[in-house]
Amino acid sequence: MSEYDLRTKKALRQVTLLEYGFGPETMKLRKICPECGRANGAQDTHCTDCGAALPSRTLYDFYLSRHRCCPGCGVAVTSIAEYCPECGARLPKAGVTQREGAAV
Amino acid sequence: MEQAKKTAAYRVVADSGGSRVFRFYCDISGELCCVTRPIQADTEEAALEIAWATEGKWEFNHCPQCGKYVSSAMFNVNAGLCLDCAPWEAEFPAFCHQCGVRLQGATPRCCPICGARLLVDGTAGGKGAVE
Repeated sequence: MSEYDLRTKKALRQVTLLEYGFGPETMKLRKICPECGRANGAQDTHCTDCGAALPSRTLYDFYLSRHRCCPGCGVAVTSIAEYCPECGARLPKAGVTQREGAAV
Repeated sequence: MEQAKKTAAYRVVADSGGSRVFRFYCDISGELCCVTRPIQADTEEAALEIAWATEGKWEFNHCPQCGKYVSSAMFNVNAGLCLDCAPWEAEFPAFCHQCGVRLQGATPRCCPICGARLLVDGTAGGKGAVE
């Protein structure tokens, strides 16, 4: 947790979500085994449970692939957004949502 | 009318003693969230009911909008919905998502220029949810 500057409200919120297993930070730290479904660390290349090769993409990449994203900074945005709330970039029209099947 | 989903996606493994072990998975990501203890019951349906009620359901978040059972990582706690129904939004947005104006200082609930709600929590029925 040392990489977070807990003096800001935003960082404190991030750590709280991480502690309870919610939020984007949690997804960035996880990869799901396509064989057994076990959650592994983002740095792992093979499942610690069944030994299967893990995909290169994290749970966060999987999440982004199911949503409309900002072409500027890459965060997922809601379908009604016209501007990115993070970087302020003008967003292309909604409705170009890429949906993929479940990871397993 | 479509019947509501009763449990998360699961696989069942029967052992030689007649017990069944259930493995429950997140409906979105496929993450394994719960492996139950061996359960004895006459039928698979009865065993599933026990497995879900006593162990499985406590490991999941239920989306009231689409009915999916998902892991915590795939659940938006702010909206109370799964991430398919309500993607994460910037909790401290730097810009208004509707008019693009830069937000200064503490984040207000609504944009001071256009009045749009800054966090829609997946509930925005249409364009320009203005309070």
